[in-house]
Amino acid sequence: MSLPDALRSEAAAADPPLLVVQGLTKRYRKFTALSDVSFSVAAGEIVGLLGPNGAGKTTTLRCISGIVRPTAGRVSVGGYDLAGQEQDAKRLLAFVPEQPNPYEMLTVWEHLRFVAHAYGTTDGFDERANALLERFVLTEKRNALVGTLSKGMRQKLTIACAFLHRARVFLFDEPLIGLDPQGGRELRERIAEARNEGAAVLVSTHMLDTVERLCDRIVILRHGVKIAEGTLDEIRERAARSISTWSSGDSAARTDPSLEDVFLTLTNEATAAGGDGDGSPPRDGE
Amino acid sequence: MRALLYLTIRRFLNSIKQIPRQPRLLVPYLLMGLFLLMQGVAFFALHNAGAARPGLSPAFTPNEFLTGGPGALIAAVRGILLLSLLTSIVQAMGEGSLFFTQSDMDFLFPAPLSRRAVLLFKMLGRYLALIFPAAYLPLLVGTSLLARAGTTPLAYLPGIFGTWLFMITAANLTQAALLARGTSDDGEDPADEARAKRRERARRVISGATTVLLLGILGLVFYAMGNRENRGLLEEVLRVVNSRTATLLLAPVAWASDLYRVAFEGWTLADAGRLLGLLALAVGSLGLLFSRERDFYEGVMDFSQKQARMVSAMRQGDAGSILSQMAQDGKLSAGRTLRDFGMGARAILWKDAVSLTRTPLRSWLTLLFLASFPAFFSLIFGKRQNDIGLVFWLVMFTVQTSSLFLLGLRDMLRRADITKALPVSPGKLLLAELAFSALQMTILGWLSMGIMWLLGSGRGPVFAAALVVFPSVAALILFVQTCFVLVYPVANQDAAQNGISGLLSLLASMLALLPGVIAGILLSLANAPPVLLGLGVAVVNAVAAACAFAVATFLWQRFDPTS
Repeated sequence: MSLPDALRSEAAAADPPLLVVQGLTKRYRKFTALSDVSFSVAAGEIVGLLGPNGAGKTTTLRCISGIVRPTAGRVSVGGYDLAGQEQDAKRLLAFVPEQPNPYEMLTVWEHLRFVAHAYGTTDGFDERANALLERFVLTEKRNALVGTLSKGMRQKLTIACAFLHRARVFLFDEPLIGLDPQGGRELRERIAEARNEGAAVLVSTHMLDTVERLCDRIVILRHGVKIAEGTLDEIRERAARSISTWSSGDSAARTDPSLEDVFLTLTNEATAAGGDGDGSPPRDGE
Repeated sequence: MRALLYLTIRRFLNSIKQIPRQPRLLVPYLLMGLFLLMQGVAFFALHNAGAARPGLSPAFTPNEFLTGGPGALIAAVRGILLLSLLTSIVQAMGEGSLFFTQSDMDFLFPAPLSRRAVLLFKMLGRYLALIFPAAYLPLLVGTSLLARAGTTPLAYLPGIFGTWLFMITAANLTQAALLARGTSDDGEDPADEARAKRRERARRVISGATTVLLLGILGLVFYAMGNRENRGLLEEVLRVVNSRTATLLLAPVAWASDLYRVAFEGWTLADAGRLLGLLALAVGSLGLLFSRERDFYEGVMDFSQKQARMVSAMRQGDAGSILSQMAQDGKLSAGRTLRDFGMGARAILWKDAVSLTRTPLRSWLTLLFLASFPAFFSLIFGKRQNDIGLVFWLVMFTVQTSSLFLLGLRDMLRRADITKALPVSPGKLLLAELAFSALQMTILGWLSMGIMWLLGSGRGPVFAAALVVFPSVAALILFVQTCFVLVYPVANQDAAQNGISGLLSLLASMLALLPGVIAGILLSLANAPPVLLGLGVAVVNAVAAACAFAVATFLWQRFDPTS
């Protein structure tokens, strides 16, 4: 861990976490999508949410963003309890879904304005919106209908909307899918900036290189159960132990496993140990 | 709420601004405007013709019903409200819910807006949409009545308002029931599944009974209209509908429909009471709906996403996606596998035959329902002995429904890169793909004729000829439509553009049928017997169908899968 990372981690440990998830459980009839999942994200921290398809990543993000009510457990955002103080908590949240679906019959500018109205942050709107348009190279499209934008541009607009209302907690669901390399780099920089400005960021992704480059800690889910949590180094260490026990891979993988090795080892380990939650089949769309 | 108003207003204004840029978007609005204008002209023509008949008695008798008196209006409104009530009950027992777009789910649900505001915002849209059926249908039925009574449509405002309040109440209660169930999926109550199965069974029984009831009433009304000399049955039905018991049982329906009497008799204290009662019901039902606000986001999400996928698939004629969604919903079963038919094109026939055996029962029932339409049309518009009129409706209906049978072809075009690589000649491949569609269209046509025969119409000689001709008509229409599908393989999202291409294909089908019609006229002038006439026309149609098929094969050969 580099020195700034270490300092950031110390600072994060000192402040109370901005996002706290405790015992989160979500059941649909007989199917358990999430089972007793707990973790937290501190101010100035980026946490990666990893897991194979059907692990419960999207359900976790939907529970945190207040779209889906958990069957049990508690979510707290900036000290506000999501169940009891929903609107206060949501004001601090920004959610970027996997597929960009902004309103097609609004112009780019109107869309930003609508989001500002929805979050009650119209003060200084022009300045902030112009800065975001410039940042995401959308200034030329300011008066274009969203319906005329390419998928990548819609993705950029959706992300710009998330940064509009000065959120303290950001939730990204596969944010880099659909973005060109330039857009991807721009987003990574913007996420890192948000962290430096003291926001808590939770990124759900399949892209392990993004996690390696961006995240301070990771949480791994499998079939709705948290199977690992920690910094990359901690998880690598744990995986290295497992690899030496379980895997017949080469010696380099045993001593310095890649995140892919770590991910596959831990998820396989959970299967071998019977840690599949309720053993239900994975659900679509997760 | 400010954000929601901003969103609604901006979207509305932007859609208006789009019209000059895409003038074809105006086509449906122009058609609707023209229709409303004609209604207005008809009203004023009657109004100024001095045909006023003041002092009409708003009696609710079969006579009034058949001659279009105020009783007919009240009966029509009761019918509309009863239908709305029955539809609401069936809907409330189903799986539907409020429809939210993916944009709503991505931007409204996570925003710090109260759930009640989002719910009200969505319901307000629905309330506005209900103004149309609440106002238009009574006006359609009662415009000439008002004109004859020497008054304006404004006289109907209390009735329209009452009807609207009733419909709002039904909508609120339906949504409250759906949300109550949609959000009760939490927990692991083992009784949930059994309860869901029981509910589904009850829903099917009620839906079936409702459909039978509605078809029965429709059939009865058409029968009475066609047989005015024998109206005893209708009198009986109206007596029951108008009885004190029925009025008490369906009090809100009676309150709303009776408010139309204000147009003829003026306000009474009872009318004010009726209006207040309906208002109280609407407000109370909204309160009940709001009590379900807590978990409504997740209740509507699954439904809305599923619905959006289905609508998109239907618009694009993507049968594969529709079937895939049905299979996911458990509405398709694997069924049994038929024995092989053979190699090459026969394998394609086998594939279609297997698909046919897996068509769910509800699709067959829908087909049967569709088949009954020409029979009803023939009863309304055709004279009983005028077989040519019946055949005309049958052909028009076949042209209109042919697109349903081309979904398989569209699906094949989606996989054209695989299909084209098969070692089967293009002509055989296309013929095999269309064979079952032609067979289904023929069966549908014969079913229609059977229903007409059962209803007592369509028993003349021309009708017998039509029975012989119909397979060739079905094949001809199908092949002509196939040419259009091959030229425009992907259905456009733009409704106006789809309408124009649909109109072109309709014209092409009618033109293709023209030689057969001419042959039929010539043979009938030559006093040819019906079977000979039918065979003659069938031969001409078969030649035309062969030409259309040759064109379709040519287009299929040139079809580029990458397009």
